[in-house]
Amino acid sequence: MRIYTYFIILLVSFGFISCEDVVDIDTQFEKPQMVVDAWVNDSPTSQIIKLTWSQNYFDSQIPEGIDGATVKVIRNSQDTLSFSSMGKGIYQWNPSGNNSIGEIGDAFELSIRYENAYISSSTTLKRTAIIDSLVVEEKMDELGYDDGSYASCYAVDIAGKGDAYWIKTFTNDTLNNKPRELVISYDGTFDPGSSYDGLPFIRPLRDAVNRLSDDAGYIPYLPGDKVRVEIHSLSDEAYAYLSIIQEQLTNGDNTIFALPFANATGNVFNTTTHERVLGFFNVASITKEEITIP
Amino acid sequence: MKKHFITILLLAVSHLISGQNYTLSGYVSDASNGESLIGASVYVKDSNQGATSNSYGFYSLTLPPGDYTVVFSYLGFQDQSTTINLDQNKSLNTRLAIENNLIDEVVVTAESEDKNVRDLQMSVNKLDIKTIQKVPTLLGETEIIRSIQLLPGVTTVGEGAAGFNVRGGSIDQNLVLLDEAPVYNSSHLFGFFSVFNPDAVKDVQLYKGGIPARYGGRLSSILDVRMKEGNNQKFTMNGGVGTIFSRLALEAPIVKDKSSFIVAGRRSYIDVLAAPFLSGDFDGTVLNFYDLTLKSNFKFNDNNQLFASGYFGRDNFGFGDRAGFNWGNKTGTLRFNHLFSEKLFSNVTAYFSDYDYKINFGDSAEDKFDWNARIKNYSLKLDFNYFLNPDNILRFGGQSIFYEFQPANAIAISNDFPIDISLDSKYALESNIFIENEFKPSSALEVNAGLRLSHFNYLGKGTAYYYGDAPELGKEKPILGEEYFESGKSIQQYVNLEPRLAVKYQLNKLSSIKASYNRTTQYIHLISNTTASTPVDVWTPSTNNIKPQIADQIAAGYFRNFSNNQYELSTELYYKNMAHLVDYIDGADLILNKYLEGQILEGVGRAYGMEVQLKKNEGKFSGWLSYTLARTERKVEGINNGDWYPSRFDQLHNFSMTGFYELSKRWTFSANFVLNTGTPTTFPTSRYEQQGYVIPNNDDNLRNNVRIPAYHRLDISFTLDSDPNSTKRWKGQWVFGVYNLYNRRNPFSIYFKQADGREAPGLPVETEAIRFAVVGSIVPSISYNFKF
Repeated sequence: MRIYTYFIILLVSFGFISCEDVVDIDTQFEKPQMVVDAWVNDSPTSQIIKLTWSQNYFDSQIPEGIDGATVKVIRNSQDTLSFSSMGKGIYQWNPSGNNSIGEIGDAFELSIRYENAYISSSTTLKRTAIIDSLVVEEKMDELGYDDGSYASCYAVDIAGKGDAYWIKTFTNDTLNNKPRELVISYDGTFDPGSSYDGLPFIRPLRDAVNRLSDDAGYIPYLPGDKVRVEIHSLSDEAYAYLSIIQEQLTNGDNTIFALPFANATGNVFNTTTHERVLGFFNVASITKEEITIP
Repeated sequence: MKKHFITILLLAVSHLISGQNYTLSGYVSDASNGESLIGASVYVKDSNQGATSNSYGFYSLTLPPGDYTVVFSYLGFQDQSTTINLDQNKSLNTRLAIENNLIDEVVVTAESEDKNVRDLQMSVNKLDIKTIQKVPTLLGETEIIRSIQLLPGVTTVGEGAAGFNVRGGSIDQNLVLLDEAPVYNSSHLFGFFSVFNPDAVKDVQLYKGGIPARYGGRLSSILDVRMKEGNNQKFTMNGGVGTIFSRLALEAPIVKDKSSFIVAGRRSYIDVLAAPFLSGDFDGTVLNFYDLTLKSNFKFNDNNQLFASGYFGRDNFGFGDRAGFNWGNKTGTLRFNHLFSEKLFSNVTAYFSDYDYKINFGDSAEDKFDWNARIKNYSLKLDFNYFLNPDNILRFGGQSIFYEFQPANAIAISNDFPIDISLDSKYALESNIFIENEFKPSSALEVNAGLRLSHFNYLGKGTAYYYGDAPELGKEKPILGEEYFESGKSIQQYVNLEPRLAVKYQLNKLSSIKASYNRTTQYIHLISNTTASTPVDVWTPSTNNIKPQIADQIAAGYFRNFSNNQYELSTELYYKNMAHLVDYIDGADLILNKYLEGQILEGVGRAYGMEVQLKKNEGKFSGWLSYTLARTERKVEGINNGDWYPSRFDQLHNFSMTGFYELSKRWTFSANFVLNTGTPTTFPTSRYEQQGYVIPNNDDNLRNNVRIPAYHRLDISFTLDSDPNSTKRWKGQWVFGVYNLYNRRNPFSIYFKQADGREAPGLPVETEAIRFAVVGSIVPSISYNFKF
């Protein structure tokens, strides 16, 4: 909802006399903190958890990885899945055979030990949506779209309120990761709090599997592009976390209607100090579809 | 209080002893068009007593029988002196002629010019429409809201932001009245232009503090805009062609001296001008705004007068069938003045107000979205002015307002499946009664003591929601249950007593000190967490979860005039405490959310400062200087670690200087310079990565910890009036203006974002800070105004 409202508003703002300049700002950054990037899923492939250090906001470098930590995921308080250090802050776990990290309804606990710090988090694996189909649509002479091939994903929300999803689109195995390409959904629509439930995803979400140009319009895929759409389930906390991130990353486009700055609050804690640690732990059920643009 | 009671008793007794007093009463109006003059001064030379005309131009003076010289005056008009023999109740209607400054100074006793010293009312600014029209503005359009921003104590969060902030209060804490009816969104095109057509406006008063008991309903200010009645002498036409609007106003008498009307309209025409250039994707773009103001009045006899007024305005934006967005206010007011006696003036007002907005997306029948929301009021108001004697006025009355809030009527059709995502309507009844006594305990002391009792009833039909405690400070409250209430049943009630006190002590003829205290309550709230409010922001009533906002303000001031009232100096100090302010959790979802109340945080606020204004009203060079040194802060559990933080619109220094210089009989030069400290904003300190995205973070969880650079701007304009010696009826005026003369890119905000472009995987993401300026260039303009 907010995306569309502000989209319209900014289109009509006094574009011809406003202006923007890049400026230097002193951020008063103090020290790096540990960041836990633990978004895993039930696909029968290797799962990765990344530990890195945070940086000054204007540091444009690859974040430094944290090696030498012990990373474990405990399923249903019984099974321990150990993630092995691969260097550069990457910790990997491989399921055996056709197994996956767990099943819908399983409870997971993340346990990290680094030097003298004990970090933990917990979450549950929730169900995900169903993708009916992922198709290619040719657009010719259509208002608002350059001519070309676009993808369209028909997905359906499962009946019962409280399902949150992250729709990730990959072009040739690379995530479409511009800020406006972060697409999340609650019960098939934009926000929770409405009575929409158990229905096909709303039209804007169907189109959201396309790439965006810098000025927020969709651009076509190229022939031969391999487009893969994955719908990951999210816990309510993960949805709230990504919701804030989505707002904050696109806030600049809101011009005079900017929202106040907000920290995305994660679910990872230092068990000794009880302080929150940057990052998030979510175990998702995923469904995917792939298509190649002719 | 006890002393006052004795005074009343003594007056009553002296009245019985001294014998019959007689009342001189009547209306003061502008001779050229019959418009009543609000706040005109009626001064009795012999007894050094006086009165001021009320909002309808009515005055009443009860004096012992005798001969008196009465002087009527009003700024910009020639004083008029009349001798009367008061041997019975007499009615004296006076028409004042406009001051002709070609005549040499034959000023009677410029009594009206010392109004700021003599008047009991403090913390009020009155803006003359003629002055407003001379102020240089953006794109040459006369602007009432932007002119009040040049007064001390009034700020905005930035250009283009709708609304204004008064003494550190948020934009919904101002009650904007157009002929007694409230206006909910006083802007066209977001914040650039106000909905008031200057051709139809007669008087603008802004009460920032010391608010008398007859006003209430918002915490921080009352902007009382009165429309013209319409020329009851002859037909007049006013209009103009500007860069943005074209305007036309027609006024004429229906029956000379007895009834008249005014019709004033404006329309923007950017879309008309741009149409030839809009093609392809932008074909069918609609971008216009307009407003229409209508008014009529009928004077049945000296004791009865009826006024009818209406306002209708709309902003329309659309892109063919694909998307559309429009909003507007409609108000209608019916007022009836009745004189029960020469001493008792009464007014009955009935109004309705309707603010609504509509959004629609989607050009196909299978996938579309339609949403509209509105807030409707119906109200009945009674006011009495009882003029006991020149030193004792009693005002009392009451009002009842019925609200209907429709936060969302929305249907989404997705894949041909219609979903009703509407939110229920909410109803409320706000009522109040008030009593005010303005009296003079001694010759140098004047007091206005008042009491207002307000009541708010949040009614069914509707659903009340019950929430539990949030799991953590600053997080959403979980919903525990809901209860349905039948139509008319009370869901929650609030009662508040609002005492008001204003005191003036006259030090000498040229200076005075004033002090005031007021408690104000606000029962409806604008839900908005963006820097500038959007037209789709929703008003919500106080409920079982949202308490009414309350403020206490004390103010004290010193007022002095210099050089025979050529210069007016006003200095004021104020302190305002606010409670039950509405704030929001991080990431709050305020649109189409029926569990909105669980995302609201309650906080307190404090605003304090010093305001100084120096005005020069007469002479070739005139104008004013305003300076405010102030702070406005908030404290909310869950924001900024529960510590005090500056409000988003806090500006330590706010300075403006507006001047007018008559270069010749036809040319006038005006200039306007504003300078203020930048507003605060929140900056991230660090960044981290999650799943390929770069996330900003403020490591200490602070809010509004950094300031944007200062804002300063100079605007000028040259006005060419028609030849004053010409006898032609058509008078034209050219205005050449430049806004932002030295081309400063005043930042509205500084925000952070990822650099444009798509990074190849494995490469770091660049982040940058962008300074955004709403008006980043010089904006010249030409407009033509005419009067017939």
